[in-house]
Amino acid sequence: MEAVAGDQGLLVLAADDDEIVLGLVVYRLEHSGYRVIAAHDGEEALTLALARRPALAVLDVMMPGLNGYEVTRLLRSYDATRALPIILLTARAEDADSERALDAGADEYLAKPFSPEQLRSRVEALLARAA
Amino acid sequence: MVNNRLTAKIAKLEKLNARLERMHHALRASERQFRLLFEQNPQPMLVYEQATLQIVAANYVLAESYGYTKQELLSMRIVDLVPAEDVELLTAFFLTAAPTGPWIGGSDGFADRTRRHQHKDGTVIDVEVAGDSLTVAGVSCRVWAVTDITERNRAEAERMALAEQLAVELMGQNERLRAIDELKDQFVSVVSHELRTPLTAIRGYLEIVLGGEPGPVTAEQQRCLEIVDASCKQLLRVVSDLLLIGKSEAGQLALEIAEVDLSALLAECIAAAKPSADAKLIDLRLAGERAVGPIAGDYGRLSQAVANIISNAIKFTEVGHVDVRLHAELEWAVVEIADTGVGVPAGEVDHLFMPFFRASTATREAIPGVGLGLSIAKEIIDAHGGRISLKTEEGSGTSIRVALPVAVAG
Repeated sequence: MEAVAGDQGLLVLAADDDEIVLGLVVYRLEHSGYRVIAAHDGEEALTLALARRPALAVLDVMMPGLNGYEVTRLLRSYDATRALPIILLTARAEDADSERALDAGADEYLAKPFSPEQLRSRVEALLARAA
Repeated sequence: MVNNRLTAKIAKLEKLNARLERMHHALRASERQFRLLFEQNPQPMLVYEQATLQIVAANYVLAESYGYTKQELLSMRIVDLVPAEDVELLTAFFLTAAPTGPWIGGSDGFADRTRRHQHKDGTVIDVEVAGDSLTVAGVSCRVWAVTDITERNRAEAERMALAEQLAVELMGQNERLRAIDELKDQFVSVVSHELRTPLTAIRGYLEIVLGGEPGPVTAEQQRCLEIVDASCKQLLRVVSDLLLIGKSEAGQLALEIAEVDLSALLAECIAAAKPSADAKLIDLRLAGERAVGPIAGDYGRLSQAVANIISNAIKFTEVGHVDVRLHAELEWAVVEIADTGVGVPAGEVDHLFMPFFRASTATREAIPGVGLGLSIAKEIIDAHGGRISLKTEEGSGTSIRVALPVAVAG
């Protein structure tokens, strides 16, 4: 399965203000065959999403400036990114957080701490659904 | 004859005279008695003419307490007994609107005014006046009985001020408590985020390294990294526990209710705790199971509650076994978890479900933990409408019983 995704070399946007967690996401996705563009805050994520048209976005919720919910809402308001599959990384596994993620328009959410393998399989499943 | 008649008349008149004399004596005695009653009464009293407000009588104790001689009082009007600023208003009031019949100052619509009198030396006092109308020698008068309530009013004012001060202090204290509570919530939220983020990185990279992607891992390295992973999981559990306690205290513990198969849940919890029981050579087993209908609950939360109880049982047991049992009792599904551990002293049983409480046996035996396991289990069971209870004996083990309502069809 990994090989299939890799062959396609799909572009994925990863955004997190925490450099280490961002590194983890990038590592897992790159080593699963995706091309990854990294953003360090919400505005950069929004700009990159509109400019580079990734196949999927993984956004942290708690980012300075625009947070993950706000970026998701904005992405849903542009034609170019209305259908972009989005996974939100929430800080807590609380119901309120997951509800907010889905309310904002995210397709999926993953609560920290998440397993990289879990992330990979969610990305893969979401891309398969979008295809 | 004439002489005799005259003598009889004189005798009759003398008799009449003697009788009148006696009556006069009796009257004077009675008057003296009543005058004494007025004069010596410990209650300050006075009588004044309704039309002129002129004082016509005042008793000894009134004169003495107001600092006037009786002679002086008899040349004064009652408005001379009130402070200068009240005179005008009260003169009009006493002359026109003063009530007739018995009354008590304060019920006359001039409560505050009628309650201020002034001594000769200028001291203003608060008084309560009881009054009544009477007629003296055809003149309409009023009698006053005056009580000095200055001290009573002062004490009352002091009490009111104290109560007010207390209320202000309480409000301040409430405010501070609310602020502390908010700070605590904030703290829990920040701690949870700040710990979860690095834990995500640690566990994530561990998973990658252990998966062998960056390069082969030796058996020894694998063992070490698995310990790191286990410690991370433990840390994560503490963070989750803290969060859960914070939420349940704030009444925000949300449950995702679905049909729960308790038998499967117990099997999963036992399997998860098996390694730590095995490590201590403790036999963790499902000792009895009878068919129990499905219950409505939050699988994840209930697992957390059961896992906490089993983990505690293992921690508190050095030798022996931990038995898990499941059976039905009327409308309840009952889970019992019994260990052969150190137990808890009887005096501490009531505290065991309180957050951060640690039994003396736990601290004495240096059993690790922060004292949240059982309180969390209780919060979760309570939120499900269930009951949790505990039986323990120091030295011979503890048994915890959880009863959850069985879902009623329809």
